[in-house]
Amino acid sequence: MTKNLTLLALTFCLMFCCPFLASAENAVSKKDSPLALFNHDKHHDYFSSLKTDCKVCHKTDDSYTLETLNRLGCHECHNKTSSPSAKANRFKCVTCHKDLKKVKPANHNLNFETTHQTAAKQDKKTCTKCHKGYFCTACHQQKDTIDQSAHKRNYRYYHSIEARSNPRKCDSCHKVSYCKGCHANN
Amino acid sequence: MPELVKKSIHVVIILFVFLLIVILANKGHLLLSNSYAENANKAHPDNWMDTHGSEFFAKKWDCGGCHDANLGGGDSGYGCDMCHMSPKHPKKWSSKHGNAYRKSRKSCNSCHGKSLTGGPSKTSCTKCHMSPRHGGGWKSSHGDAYVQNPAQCRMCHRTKVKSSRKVGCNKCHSSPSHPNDWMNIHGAEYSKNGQSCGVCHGQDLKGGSAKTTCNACHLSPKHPSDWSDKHGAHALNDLDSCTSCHGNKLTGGKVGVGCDGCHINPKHPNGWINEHGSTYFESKKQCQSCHGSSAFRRTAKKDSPCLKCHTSVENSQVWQPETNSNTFNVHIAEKAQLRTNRLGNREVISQHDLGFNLHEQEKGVSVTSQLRYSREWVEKDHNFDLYETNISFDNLFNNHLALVLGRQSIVTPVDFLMIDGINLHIMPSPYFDVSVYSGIPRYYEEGDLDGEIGLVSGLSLILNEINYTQARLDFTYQKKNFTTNELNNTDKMYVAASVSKGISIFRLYALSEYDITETLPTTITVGSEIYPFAKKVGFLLEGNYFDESRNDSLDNIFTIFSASYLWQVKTGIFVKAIQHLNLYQHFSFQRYDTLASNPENGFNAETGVGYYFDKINLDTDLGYYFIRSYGGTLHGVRLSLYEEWSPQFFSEIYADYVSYTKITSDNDMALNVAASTGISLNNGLSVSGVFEYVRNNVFEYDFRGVLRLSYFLNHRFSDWGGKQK
Repeated sequence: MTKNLTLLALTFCLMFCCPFLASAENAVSKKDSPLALFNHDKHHDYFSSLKTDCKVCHKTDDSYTLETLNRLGCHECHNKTSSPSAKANRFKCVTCHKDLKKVKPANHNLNFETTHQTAAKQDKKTCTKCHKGYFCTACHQQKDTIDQSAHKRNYRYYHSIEARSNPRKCDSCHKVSYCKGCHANN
Repeated sequence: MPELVKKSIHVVIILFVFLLIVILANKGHLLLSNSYAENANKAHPDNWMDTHGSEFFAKKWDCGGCHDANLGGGDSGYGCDMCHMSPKHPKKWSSKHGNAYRKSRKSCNSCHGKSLTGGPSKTSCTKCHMSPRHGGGWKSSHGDAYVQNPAQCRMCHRTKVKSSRKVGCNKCHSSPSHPNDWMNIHGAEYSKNGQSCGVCHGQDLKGGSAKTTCNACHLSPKHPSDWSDKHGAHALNDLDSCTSCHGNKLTGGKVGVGCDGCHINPKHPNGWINEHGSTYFESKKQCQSCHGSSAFRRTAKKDSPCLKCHTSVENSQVWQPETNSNTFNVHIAEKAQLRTNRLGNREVISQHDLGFNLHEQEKGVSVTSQLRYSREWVEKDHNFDLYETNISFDNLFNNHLALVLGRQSIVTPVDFLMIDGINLHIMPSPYFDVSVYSGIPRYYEEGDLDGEIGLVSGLSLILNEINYTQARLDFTYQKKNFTTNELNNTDKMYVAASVSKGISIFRLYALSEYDITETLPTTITVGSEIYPFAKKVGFLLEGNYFDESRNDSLDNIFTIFSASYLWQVKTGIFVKAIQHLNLYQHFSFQRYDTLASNPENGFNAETGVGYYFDKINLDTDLGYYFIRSYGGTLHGVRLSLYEEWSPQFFSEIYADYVSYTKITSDNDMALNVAASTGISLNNGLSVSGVFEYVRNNVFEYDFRGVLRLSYFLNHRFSDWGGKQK
């Protein structure tokens, strides 16, 4: 018990010291967009040496603005195994997308939590481009012990409503034995 | 005007007045005595040519009787200027004698001595100023003399003077009277002819006779002998002091010696952010020479240049971008939390993760392994709750074959699931893949030892994405009973097909799974995503059909609720027309038979708005959600605020309020508020404090201070093995 209290006190101290320990000077600008990082001169010279077509980026004669540029043109070198430059392809996504969380595909905003199973079954490679290692198990085999990421603290008191609304949703993580843990049916 | 010049002019004037008086007095004397006629007949002695000078000066101009008062010749017909200059210098001689000397040096010698130290006239140059006859050693001492009194030198060496022997400073070195723009050009001049600066400023440029050093303004270009060892440290201290000679960008400048002659320029060029990574891998030592070798270690100090941008270590478990280098990561994640439960007892919960990831680039071998150990509030038997390992060989047979072997086991207090699998991926062309897989799932429930589910094998034919179109076909065969080789009624066969096609603003997709043994479709999904305005707005519409018999090897929860099938419709909308503002709406409707011919409906809806306050790094999200089923109705509101004060320091507030009515009539509201603030210290250690308030009708309220320690070590040994290309 005393140990716990000591731990408690120590962490509280740390917690209140945090604002003074942390420095805001090193803040990395979140505004760093891929196009802000782009150096046209450097690329232009290199492309000239490779005789790369300007149309890779400037699809039409008037596509010279940020809106009309073919942004996916970057991927021809930076995100392809057949890239003409091994150097360009070395770090793939992070070369340009400094904050990977910003490169979320558009469909991730469209109820993706419930629809991603189809996408994953269709082509797992699309997922593994960004998500590695234990990303699936991080949710599907998660124990909601410390981080209450899937359900909130009070969930057990109203889970019956959601379970009846869509029982398949429970299946993605739990098995019947989990229900039995509390609703002993024998 | 310098004091000496003034003085010398005064002296000359006084001398002149004195001479006039003497001349006038002599005239008077001559007039008075009237004796010049006597003297006229006096013959000069034989050696008169040698002595007439000194005699002249000794007798104080007493020659006028015969030779005219101005010594132009007079009655005798012999004037001084027959042989040499007349000692009766013309008027304003003091301002003219210099030029006269320059035109005919010897003409001064007869009266003033060969070395102009006085001679018979006893009037030397040094009476007023420096002698133009510079003595021996002048070459070494003229600099000092110039510094003491530059005006002295200018008397003779003025550039305007026309002379056959015009001697300017420039003949040997740059003029000490530096031009007006000297401040701008002295560097370039020094690099052209550094020796000449040494004449006045000392060969070591420590001042010399001029007493003006380089150090007064900037670093001396005469770097010390051990400069090659020290220049780095100096440059790090004060890089600007190098720019005056080596150029603003240290590419060479006036002296033409740039940093990149030997190593990378510490003034990194524009766009360095794009290339610094590859440069680092090409030559680590280059980076280390300025940034220190420790800066690139995971144990680096807080100000490590890498950690400023790279590796939000906590996330690397989830976000692990591809790299083309050999890597070896070890990660340890520790989380622990302490709370007081509502009975007043203190409880500890903890989660420990241990894992590694190894990737060899050239052979394409990767090994990933993870072990998770959890302790719940109340300690239970099965603590090792997750274990998984994957071994993959990515580019066998020249990138045409990939092999993955893996095992995953999940332990919960009531059951145990373990899957061993192998997957062979054949890639004959970029457009077409074949995948063959086989796996042995085992499932044991508490008290049930017969957990064999059999052997699951499958074959997939995959058309890779071309022009936004892809398709695949899967066959799966599950054999449960191995006592007979024939197909029996416990075996299962499935076939699944899926296709996805992008047309204009639409993406259409469909997936179907068919149970061959039961001859019925188990899953059908048809959907479309629509992006009308360059992905600023998106719509989703998806329909699902799901049969209860799917996955009947494991008891699933859906089977408990449903007798047969489930229909489902999902929609979604997002609007991101305004920067940082995100509006979204999700809805899904389910209809399924709870008993035969007794369908029930379920509704889930969620609407939210999120805004990111760019300037203060505050991420906000406010949402409303709604669930309705035959079990009851629920309305919920949630709010989350996430503030990133700095990359290390963060605060988060989460609030969730629900109000529900249940068929059991225990209607209630429930509130959960959690506020946390924490700091990510280096080496993956983060400490946060959480205050949590939970209120509901079951236990009236609960207010806890929760402490969380999270330690995430991710040690990466890159460049292991082969060399970077």
